[in-house]
Amino acid sequence: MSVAIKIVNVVKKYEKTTVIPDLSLEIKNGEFFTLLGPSGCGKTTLLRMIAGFNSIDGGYIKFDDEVINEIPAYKRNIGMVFQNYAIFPHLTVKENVEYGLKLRKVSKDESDKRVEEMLKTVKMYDYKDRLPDRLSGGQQQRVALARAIVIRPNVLLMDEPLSNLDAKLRIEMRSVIRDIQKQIGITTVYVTHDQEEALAISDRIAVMKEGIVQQVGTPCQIYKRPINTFVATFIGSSNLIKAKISIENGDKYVVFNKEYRLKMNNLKSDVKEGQDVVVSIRPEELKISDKGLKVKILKGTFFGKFINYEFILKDDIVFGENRVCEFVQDISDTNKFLKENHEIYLEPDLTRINVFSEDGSVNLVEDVIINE
Amino acid sequence: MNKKIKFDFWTIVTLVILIIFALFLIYPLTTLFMDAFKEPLTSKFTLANFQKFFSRKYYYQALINSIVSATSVTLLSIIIGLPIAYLMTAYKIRGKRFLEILIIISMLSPPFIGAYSWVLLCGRSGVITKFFKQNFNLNVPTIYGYVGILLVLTLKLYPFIYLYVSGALKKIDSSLIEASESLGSKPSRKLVFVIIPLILPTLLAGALLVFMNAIADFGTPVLIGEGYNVMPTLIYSEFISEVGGQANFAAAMATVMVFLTSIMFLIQRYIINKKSYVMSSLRPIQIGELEGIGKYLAHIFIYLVVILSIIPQLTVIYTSFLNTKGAMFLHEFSLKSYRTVFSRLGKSIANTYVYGLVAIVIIILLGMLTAYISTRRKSTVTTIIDTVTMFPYIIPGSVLGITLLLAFNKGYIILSGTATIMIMAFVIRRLPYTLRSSAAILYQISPSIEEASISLGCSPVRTFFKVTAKMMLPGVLSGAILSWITVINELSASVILYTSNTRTMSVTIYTEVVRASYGTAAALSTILTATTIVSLLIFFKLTGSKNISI
Repeated sequence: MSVAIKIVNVVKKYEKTTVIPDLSLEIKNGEFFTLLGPSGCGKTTLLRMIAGFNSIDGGYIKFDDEVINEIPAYKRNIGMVFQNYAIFPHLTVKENVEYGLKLRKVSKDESDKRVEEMLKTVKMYDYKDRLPDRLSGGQQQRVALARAIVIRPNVLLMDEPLSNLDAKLRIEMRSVIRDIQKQIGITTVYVTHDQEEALAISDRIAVMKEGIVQQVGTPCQIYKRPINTFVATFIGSSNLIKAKISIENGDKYVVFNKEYRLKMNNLKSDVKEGQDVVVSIRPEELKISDKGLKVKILKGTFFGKFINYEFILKDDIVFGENRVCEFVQDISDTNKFLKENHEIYLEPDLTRINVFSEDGSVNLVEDVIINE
Repeated sequence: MNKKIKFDFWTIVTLVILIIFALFLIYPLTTLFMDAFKEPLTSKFTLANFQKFFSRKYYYQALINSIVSATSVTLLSIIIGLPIAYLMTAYKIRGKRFLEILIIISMLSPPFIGAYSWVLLCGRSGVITKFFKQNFNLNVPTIYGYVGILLVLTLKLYPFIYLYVSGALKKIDSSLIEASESLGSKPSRKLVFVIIPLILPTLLAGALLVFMNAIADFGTPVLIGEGYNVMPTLIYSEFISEVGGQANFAAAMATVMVFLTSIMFLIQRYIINKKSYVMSSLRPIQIGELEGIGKYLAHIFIYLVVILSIIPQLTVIYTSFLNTKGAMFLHEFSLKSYRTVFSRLGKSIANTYVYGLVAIVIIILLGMLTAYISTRRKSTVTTIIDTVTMFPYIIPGSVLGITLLLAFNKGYIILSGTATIMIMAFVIRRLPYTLRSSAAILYQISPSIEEASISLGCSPVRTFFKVTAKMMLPGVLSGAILSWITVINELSASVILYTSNTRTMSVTIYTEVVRASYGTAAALSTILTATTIVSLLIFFKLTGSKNISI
């Protein structure tokens, strides 16, 4: 049966370096939960701690009410899918899927029934007698998925299962995994560094950096209201622009330069007059207008559904090293293709943009959800 | 943090392996080195043994001879092996597959068979010698001494160069050569500027392997060397003459020898680590067609070398079916030699197979487990084990024989004269082949395969036997075949360790040759060669591979 996972103050150390200093998370029964972060953020380490392949050096992990710290991996009843599929090369597709059932001494009839059902679910039944070396990467991953699920594990763990596949197959397999997970309703912990994949597949995402969970929430929550500039730039892309707060008659303004300011009354109450802030604007949150930020177009790239423009601001107010910003223009809006060096005004959508403290660590907009 | 040591299966395996190596390798070696620095009677510390060695020409000449002959053999092997490897890889050569098998057979049959049949052919009363003497009154140059050692060892060892270099050549991608041509290099210069530099590290590694084999070989110089003393024969004769007394002087010589081979080994490691290029060929070099005179010359050269190197085996097989009178072969066919062998020396055949099988089972088990702990369970202890398993590479067989005998003929564990000590010597000497091939295949097996099995509910130990071991098998076999063949052909350690009850075929061939019983020696050699060939053929059939990895 599927379980809820409770991770409490967990610590992981490799010799002298601490990979995970102190991490807590709760994963609900039946949900698709993704650990997302750049390489080296500790997401795979955490997954392997849940699996039992890495020891837990502090804190504890619970499956429902049972602490699993000292339970060896092979007794945890987990299903695991690996980046390199890890199909047993000396066994056929059917034998691979049967493997876990045989160890559980499931009767022959029962086992045959479950294997058949499972192979049909992942659409691999026609290949049941093949050896893995005659399967494509996508097919191997389907077998791996079947093998992991057929044992009816407490939890399904997936470690970057799609990163060895090509782009098209990745998108196809992503919905296969998603559909099967929903159909079976098993608690799933999924590790990836691909933010697009995470957004597409998850019920909830935990964004990690340097062993610390930055934000937990639904894909929509995290995309719309990132907790800090790291999340804002890691999930999707964001233009970061320096600005100042100004308060007049109780109204709060974000001041970009002498000519342009935005009235933003959804900012938290503790913002101060004259406070330096960083405004994060996603490319789709800008639109061409007769007022706003004055920019010069560098180049436009045609993508079919939309055009992506790179531009620089007339004032030197961009945050960080990269001076080049981006915005996208929906093709249906206009048939105009902006030329190089063309100067225009861009107006941010004030309901959607985010405002961060000067160091980028706190989102100053009111409705941010840190941990749902 | 809980730092408790868990006594799981692998910890126990690690400890057991550590104890085995400590008991059968480290302890005997330490005993040997200590003995080298002891006065024979008083057991006091002294350098006298070494002084004696380096001050008398009779002794240190053997060291010089060893170095000179090993160096010459190495150079000759390169001169022969390199062109054959290049020609066979880059051009169409008739009967390539067949030639390759002959080359492998000549490499894997024991060198003393080569020595002894060259004596049969060109020795004092050899067939060829007599032929020239009687028909043309010509004296064929003597086969004994330096020349003979050179001939026999070169023909036996050039296959190492051949196999190493052709392995490297097959890994060169032809785009590298095309790249060099596109950058303006003439096609004729590709050999010098692209191919040779790329295979140089491999060539050097092969050359050092040849050198180590040549310098450690006992059978060849003892049979064909006559007055030309080299270290292994000198160590042997000193040791045998000192038996019962103190073996400190022989121990000192063995120490000198190990010192020399250690240096060579370290150089080899250095070169391999520093200079080897990782290459994987998507498109191997195209096989070309030789034109005109070059084609004939290439074929003549290759066939001449291969035939010369297989002659000893053919001679032995042929003479084994001849009737004999004393040391003489008569011009009539007979199975007399075989009858004698089975009635009088059958024990040695049985010993060879029994010891060989026991040894190979231990080698495979030990090899797989040791490879596993040193690749998957890295720790200080496994690093030590890993280093210790290199020792057999630097310990010549005769030295190992002495080492084991000195360590186990007194004290708590007395094994001298037993089958155990013979098997032990086999295992220690030939474990590295299986160990290395096991480790190599383990590196290709992703640890996540094991984790997959564990996550499905299989305990780590069961996973090893159910999944890992099965997947390792092809790799293990490719090393085990070499271990097996070299075990049954082992002479230099067993000649020191055997008794009349524990002698093997190799030892018996040697003793029969020494007492000029050439017929029985030939019959035994034939049985041994046949076993080798049959084992090889079974291996090829079983694995579907066409080559062996060295």
